[in-house]
Amino acid sequence: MSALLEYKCPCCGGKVEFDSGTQQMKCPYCDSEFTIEAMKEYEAAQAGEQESSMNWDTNAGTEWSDGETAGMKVFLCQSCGGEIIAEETTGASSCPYCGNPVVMKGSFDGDLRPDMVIPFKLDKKTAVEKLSEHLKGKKFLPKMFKDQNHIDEIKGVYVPFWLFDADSDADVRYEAVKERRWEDNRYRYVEKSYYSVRRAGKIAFEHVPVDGSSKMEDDLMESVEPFDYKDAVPFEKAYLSGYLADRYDVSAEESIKRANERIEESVKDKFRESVTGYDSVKAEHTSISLHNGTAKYVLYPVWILNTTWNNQKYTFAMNGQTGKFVGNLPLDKGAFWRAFGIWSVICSVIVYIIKVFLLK
Amino acid sequence: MDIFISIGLGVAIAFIIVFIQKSSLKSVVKQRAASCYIKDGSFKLNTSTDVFLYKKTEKTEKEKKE
Repeated sequence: MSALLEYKCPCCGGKVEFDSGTQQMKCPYCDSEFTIEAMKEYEAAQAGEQESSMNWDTNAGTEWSDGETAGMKVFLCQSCGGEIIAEETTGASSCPYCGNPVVMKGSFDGDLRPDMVIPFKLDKKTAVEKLSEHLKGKKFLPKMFKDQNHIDEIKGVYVPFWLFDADSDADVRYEAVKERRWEDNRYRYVEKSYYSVRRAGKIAFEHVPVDGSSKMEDDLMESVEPFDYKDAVPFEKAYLSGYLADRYDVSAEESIKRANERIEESVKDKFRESVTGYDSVKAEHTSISLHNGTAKYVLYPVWILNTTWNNQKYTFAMNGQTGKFVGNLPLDKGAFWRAFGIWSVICSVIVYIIKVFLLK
Repeated sequence: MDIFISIGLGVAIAFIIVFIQKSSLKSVVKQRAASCYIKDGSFKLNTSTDVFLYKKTEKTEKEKKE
């Protein structure tokens, strides 16, 4: 006995049947009609769909050679548990994360040696100048914050990152709709034409960074991006001289999830951009697979500035390569509500004038 | 009635204005995607199909003017 072939309705999911009257496929539940070719294409697209597979090779970093770590010490902050690495002679005295004193814990060994480093391109003086620029023109910034602008601590820190490279294949199916509207004397009409859209292809990523330190706030480090990898050089201990190096405590395997999230969003965005000419588009099935996924362990330069105001700690960060400066600022609530009140009065008056005098 | 509508709209517009101004205080945000890290020239589409499925028309009666 031959097996029955079933087609599912793209509109309601019911079983469609061949209608001998119209010579087309028809859904008895929602009355939608489809050509046979359209049904075949739709079913073929769904049959070929695979689940996403995003796997990585995370053997990054190398081992230190004999004697290379001599003179490097690990400093421990007993307040927040942060660990930083510096040359013995750097004289690290306070924690870049919380500002409390650090103590020398011991010699630095056993960690992975970084593959690459982007050396600091901008100095401490530039970081202070950028802070002043950052405070300019900010509405609702308390005046006292600007006037009492003193920095407790500025530290040049090499932050550990895991960099992910990968080639990806993606296959995305969308439901897309074109609308046509018109009206006559009695009715308004909306005609919606539904399409099954498929886009499949490849896209490659390189140097997607994920912060390898749990002490450095991930959102702060992502805010100073992007770093330009073309300035990266093979790691030498000499680059650490005069700076601190944050110790990695998040493994490459733990960082994969974040890399996957960002790559997946970029793949979806890029493929979605290729679907044009529709009034609405909705992705129905997305399949992303990664190949040649590799991770590298690198150090990126970041200036960290800490300031305290009204018993609250504010942390600013500057990209030590590009100078991008970020940091959340406090809000002057009084100024905010005063401005809201004034704007409400002005806008209400303008709207009233437009409505009463110009529109009638 | 005009006064109430004007006040309502005025407050809504003022809300939008001051919230846009307030947003300049916040510069620390998590990145949503990795668009800066796409390898140049690596995006290639192998399959691009747009298949028409079906059409639906809805109509609504207009309000009768007196």
